Amino acid sequence: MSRRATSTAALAVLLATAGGAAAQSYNLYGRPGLIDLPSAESFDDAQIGATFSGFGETRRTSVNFQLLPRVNGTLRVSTIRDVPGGPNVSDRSFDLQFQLLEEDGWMPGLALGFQDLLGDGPYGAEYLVATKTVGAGFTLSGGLGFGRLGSDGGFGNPFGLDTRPDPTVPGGRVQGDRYFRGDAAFFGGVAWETPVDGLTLKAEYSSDAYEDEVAGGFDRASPFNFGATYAVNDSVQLSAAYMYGSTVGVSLSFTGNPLKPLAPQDLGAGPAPVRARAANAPMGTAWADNPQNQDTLVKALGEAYAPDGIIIEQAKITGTEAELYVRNTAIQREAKAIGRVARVLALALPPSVETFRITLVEDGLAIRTAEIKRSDMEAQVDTPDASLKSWQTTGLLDARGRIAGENVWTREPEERFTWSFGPSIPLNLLDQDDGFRPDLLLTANAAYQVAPGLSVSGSASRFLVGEAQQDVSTSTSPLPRVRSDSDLYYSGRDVSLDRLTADWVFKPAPAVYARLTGGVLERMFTGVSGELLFAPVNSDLALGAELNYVRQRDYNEPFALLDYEVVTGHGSLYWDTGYHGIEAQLDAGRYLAGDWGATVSLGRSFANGWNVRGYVTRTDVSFDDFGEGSYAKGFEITMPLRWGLPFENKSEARVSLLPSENDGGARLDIEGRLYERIKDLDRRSLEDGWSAFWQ
Amino acid sequence: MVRVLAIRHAIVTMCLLALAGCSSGGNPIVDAALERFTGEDDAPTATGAPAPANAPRRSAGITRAAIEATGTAMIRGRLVEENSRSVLSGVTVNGPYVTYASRFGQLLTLNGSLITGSRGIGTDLLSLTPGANDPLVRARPVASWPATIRRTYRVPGPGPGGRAITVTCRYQPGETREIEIVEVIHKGQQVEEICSGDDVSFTNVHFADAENGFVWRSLQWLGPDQGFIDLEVLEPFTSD
Repeated sequence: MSRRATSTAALAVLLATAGGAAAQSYNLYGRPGLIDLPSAESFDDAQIGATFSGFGETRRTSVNFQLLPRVNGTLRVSTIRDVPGGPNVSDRSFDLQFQLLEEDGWMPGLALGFQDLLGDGPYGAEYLVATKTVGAGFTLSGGLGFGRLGSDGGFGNPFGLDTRPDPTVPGGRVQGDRYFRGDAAFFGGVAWETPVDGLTLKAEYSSDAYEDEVAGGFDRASPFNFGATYAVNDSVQLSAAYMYGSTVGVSLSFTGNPLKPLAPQDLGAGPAPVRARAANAPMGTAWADNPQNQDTLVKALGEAYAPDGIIIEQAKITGTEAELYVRNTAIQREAKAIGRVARVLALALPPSVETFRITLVEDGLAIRTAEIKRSDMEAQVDTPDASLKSWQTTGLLDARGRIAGENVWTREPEERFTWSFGPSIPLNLLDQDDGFRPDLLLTANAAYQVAPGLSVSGSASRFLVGEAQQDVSTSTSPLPRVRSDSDLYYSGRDVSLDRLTADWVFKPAPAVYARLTGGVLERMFTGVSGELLFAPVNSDLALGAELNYVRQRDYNEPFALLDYEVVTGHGSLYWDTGYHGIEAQLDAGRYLAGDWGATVSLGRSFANGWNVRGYVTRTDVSFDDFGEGSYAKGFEITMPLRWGLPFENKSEARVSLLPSENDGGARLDIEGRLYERIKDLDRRSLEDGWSAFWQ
Repeated sequence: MVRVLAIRHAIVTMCLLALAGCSSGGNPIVDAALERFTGEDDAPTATGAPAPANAPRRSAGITRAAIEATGTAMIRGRLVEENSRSVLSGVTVNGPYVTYASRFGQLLTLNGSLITGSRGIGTDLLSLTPGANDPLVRARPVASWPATIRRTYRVPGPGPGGRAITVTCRYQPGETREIEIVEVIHKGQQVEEICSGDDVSFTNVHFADAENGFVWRSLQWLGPDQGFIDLEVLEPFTSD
């Protein structure tokens, strides 16, 4: 809990100031392209961009992510008017584009795209597009479009699949029987990177008839669009275009790249220099017979670690071994924290101490032990490829819960009570109704540590700006209203109690983690929650089980309860694939509305703490009962603030995109699930960041 | 309290980053942190490219007597985009590697005259693997420097080894001249070291004693994000 700054505004701020954009530009759909059309280009791997665009009655808010070097995804909420003078209707869509060929020599780049992959809305389209740089700053793109992109100038389906069925309703499902069917049409355009730094001029011929918008009064007088994109800096793009012979369109894009930090990451005091022991150093261990020597050493070590935010929780130093349980409160890369602890040990301990066991403790849980030989460090320090060598000689172990035995130094809690408060912006970047809806919350947090692993904590908040929530239920869900009435919990209160729980985390065995939580678990539910996690250090797989009994909270009284109660829980399988940081998770069990089903999550993690994750949930709730979207799905982006800071910090910002407020497939929102606590310290994560060991 | 500090940092950072986004003058936090490395030990030099090797240098912050009084090996570094220089003193020796520390704890590790590691000055050079005949590691008369050498730089990146950048370098001897380093005149030859490979290219510049090849001053590349450092040897390390 202590690591997560809920201030999702940080994401927007940092995206706005991020560096490292690729040369390609975002189109009005928020993906690589010309003006309104796609191109076969890709952004730099992992690049994230947010685009806000509009023309006529059309508004689009998009978040684009270069998921893999050749796979690009876009989430978008759009509003269009399809009835003259009528209301604007909202549509959510998800695009995927696969780069089949990279541009190479005479060979153009080639991409295959799906627009509104899961949708039943007006944006459904598929395309094959080629892009070629032809010199003097000119880039030509041309493609073959289907669906919406085959709606003007179509010439019949080249595969003979002339009939494009109506979309499956309700939407949100793969529309496999529609892809590449119906009329096809050519589209294309040109971009010219002018001698004016950052200015690109564009022209395109569109095969999009804009049928729904025309029905709503949009004047599509021409298939040609003409525009300009100006890159204000590496992270901000402005575009304007004369669209379809009748109107002006504008867009604003912000970009950032997890792999390209905003600030230098290695500024500040370097680590303690390691000096090899002299060949004739005294190796006697008699000094260890006096317990006071251990106290003296631990005190000195603690002072040396303090500037790095490393706190010794437990220690046992014998004549030949030093075992430290430490809490890393500041250093974002855990391997760097391990390295800094080891360096000071090598510098400060008597020569007879050869083995260091350094255990990292997170939120009261001892997670990972690194076993390091001092002589290995002395042989490796300063040498070429030292971090690679240290990875090969460091042993990683499942940590025991606590150091056992006699003469163990244990830190007395200095501050049992901690608190904080600050602004938090529940930025709803892709709100179904409003597209972009910033509110401002003031959130206060407090925690009291009763004993190691046992704590009481809570948080409360109130709106400073916003609060445009429903105060009467508008839900038509036939299911228990476990999420569809969530607005009622935000309305009519000065201060809202978001959470108040007692938490106990412990380790029944070295590779087994356990959590018991009771109290006000989240904004809508009170109850008890128990969780077990089996996560051995040398496995890419982990298994978990969670069981909860909860009752729904009253809308107005913070401790009153409604009648609805449910036993919910899941078995979970976690898999760190080792491929480009991709992690997979399968949760199967009973959800809040009593429905049974499973959730599949895929995410991509980076060594610097960035994480992008998407999930889908299917349960035994029918598509009709579920309502809009057919089943639960969503995306989350977690961003470490360290990425934008030149000094160490472990806080994170998390933003949810396309959050679901449907009742089917809903899970409890529990703080501090076990896998979240330990995953940065699994073998893959440590290996990925181990180059920081000597830093 | 840790939580409080974390949140404070987050808030302050958001504000400062927002400022940075609107400013053309760079990031104030970064500038402040950099200043710690380039804490004024000497008068500022011209910005931009490194000063000519034989340019007279003011030594307002340090004297030869002060250097000799310390009795330790000493170097002085300046990031090329910065105005001021920082003095670093030898703190550890591990085989051929000598590590120097600034008063703020930033580190440079040298093997001979070649920087093989940096810590705390922006983006670390994790390690450097020189070729077997690297003249900066094994000093020899400039006339005997090899035609080409290879080096592998390790900079932060995914995986336990970080990102490896291997370059091949060739030498281009220049004119013989004199330079002053804190009241001592050195006579030597300027040699350009022109390197390329793995999507990078850069040119180091060394001022070496023509007779024995010892490099007294050099402009050395530390990686694609860090760029160059202008390094002077104030008092060379000797194993005595």
